[in-house]
Amino acid sequence: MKHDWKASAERIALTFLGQTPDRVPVTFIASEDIAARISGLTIREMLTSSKKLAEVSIGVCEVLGGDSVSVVVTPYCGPYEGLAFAKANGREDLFVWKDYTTPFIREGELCATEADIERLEIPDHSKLEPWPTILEAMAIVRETTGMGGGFAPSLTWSSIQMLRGSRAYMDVIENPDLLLALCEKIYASQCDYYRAFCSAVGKPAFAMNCQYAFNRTMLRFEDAWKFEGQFIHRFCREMDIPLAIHNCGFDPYWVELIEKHQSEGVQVIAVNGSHPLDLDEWVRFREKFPEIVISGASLFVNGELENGTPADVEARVRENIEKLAPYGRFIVTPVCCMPWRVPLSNIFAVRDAVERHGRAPFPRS
Amino acid sequence: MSGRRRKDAKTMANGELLDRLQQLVLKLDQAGVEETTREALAAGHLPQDIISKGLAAGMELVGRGYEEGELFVPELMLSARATLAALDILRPHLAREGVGPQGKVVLGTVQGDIHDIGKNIVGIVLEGDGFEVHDLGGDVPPQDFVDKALEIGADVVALSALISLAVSKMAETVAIVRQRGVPAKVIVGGAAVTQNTAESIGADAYGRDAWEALRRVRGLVQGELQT
Repeated sequence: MKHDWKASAERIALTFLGQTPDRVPVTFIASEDIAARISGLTIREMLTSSKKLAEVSIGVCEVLGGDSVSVVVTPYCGPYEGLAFAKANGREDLFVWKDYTTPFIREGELCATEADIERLEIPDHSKLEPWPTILEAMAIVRETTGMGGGFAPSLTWSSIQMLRGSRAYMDVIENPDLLLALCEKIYASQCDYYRAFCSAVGKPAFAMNCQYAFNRTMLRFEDAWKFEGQFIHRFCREMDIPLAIHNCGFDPYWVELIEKHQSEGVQVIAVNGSHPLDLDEWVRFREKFPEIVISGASLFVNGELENGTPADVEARVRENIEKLAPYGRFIVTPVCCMPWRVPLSNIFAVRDAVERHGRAPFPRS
Repeated sequence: MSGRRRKDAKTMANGELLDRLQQLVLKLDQAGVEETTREALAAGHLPQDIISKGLAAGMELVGRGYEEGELFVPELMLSARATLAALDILRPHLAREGVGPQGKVVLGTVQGDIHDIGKNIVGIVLEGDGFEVHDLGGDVPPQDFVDKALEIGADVVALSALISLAVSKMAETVAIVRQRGVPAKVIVGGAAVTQNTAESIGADAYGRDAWEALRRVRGLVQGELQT
């Protein structure tokens, strides 16, 4: 049966508005791995045309059965931004294509020296492939399904690390001005991407940004803000759009980060993450931030999805729904990307569990 | 002053040198670490004492600060770099004294993942503890782990993965290491990996962070069952 995208769009919209949908929405992060697995195509085959990429994206999302659709080659968090920078600077040789998983740029080679950063050219996303193909596919997906209204820039630590490598961590203490200069170049590139996105797809409803640096296992909050947070903050203010935050780290600074954005004038509308794994922590989060959509909570892809049975997955999804759905503004989402090792039966168990336990009125434990 | 008293004074000064070395590692003072390592050698300290009582002890202080949330990855990286620089100074002296490694470890980030910071820190902590570490880098195909482990007679193969997508390749790597009859133990770690993952893919041990990895690797080399 063909997926009813209109019903999905309504479900998501009601959830964001704080109203009660017919059932809890469920979404999946559809990356290259799961797309290759379902479509049987290599990543480069998917990218041969915007039409093919859009078809594969919609097809994969229909198989998964979630309430969202996105282009399946992850435009956020780095890989194709790495390719754009490599191409713009005549170093396409640094990019490593993979057939059935996310490709990448060799870390730290493009901006190995101070001079490399100084002369780093900003990519033109309207011209450098695969961006025109990806952008056009986004437009087709939006036109076909009525969904896909978010914009996902790469204003994130992973962009820094992709270009500067692990020496970026040492720069935090030894050479912060140089690191900030690189951050400004990444910012300029993301503004270019935004203009190309608006031109091809239209103005987005929100920005969805990976805030990887905001983990207690990585950086001090102040440093994470200095080299990552302040840039998406400035971007949201300049473009006048609200922010959804993705963080798939193990110990995110959720509360501090949201309070910082909000106190300085950026509206945070959603969070997407799997940690903390303790659901009661998410209940406390819900009580503290009743207006923010929780997409994820305690459904870690490397937990039950990877190592458990469909029954384990169902139990975990049910527990999430029982604890969080009654408060509203909740979306079931496994976080983060699903590796090949996650059985398809476990992925389908998420969708089935939501159908079984997520119908309104929502049960409460 | 009698000879005995002079010796006591010298021993105290030497002990202070190793204490100072610990503190310099903690302060991320690479130049100071290098200078004090040379001083300690000149003062007659055995290189293995400089490692265990100075450098490794300093790294443990850094590790404790990290576990307590006072220090972060930048401090780990800088203290690790200082320690590595000191190890470079000590290596010829270790060789001259015929001091062998505690064990041999093949280390790498599995194929499909390029993140190397956690792996690098593990490598330095292991090296600082006296292990011979062969770091294969990032995006390492399974067969490369097998080849290197067989070539050097590794005691331990250590696999890292940061992104969730790389866990499948980690599982494949463990399986291939087993299938090819590599006699080494396998330890896994990285942000994408949990104790459950380690158990389900058949690893011998799981290291949540660099210091747990060190404890586990010590245990594996001493023949302790981990999982």
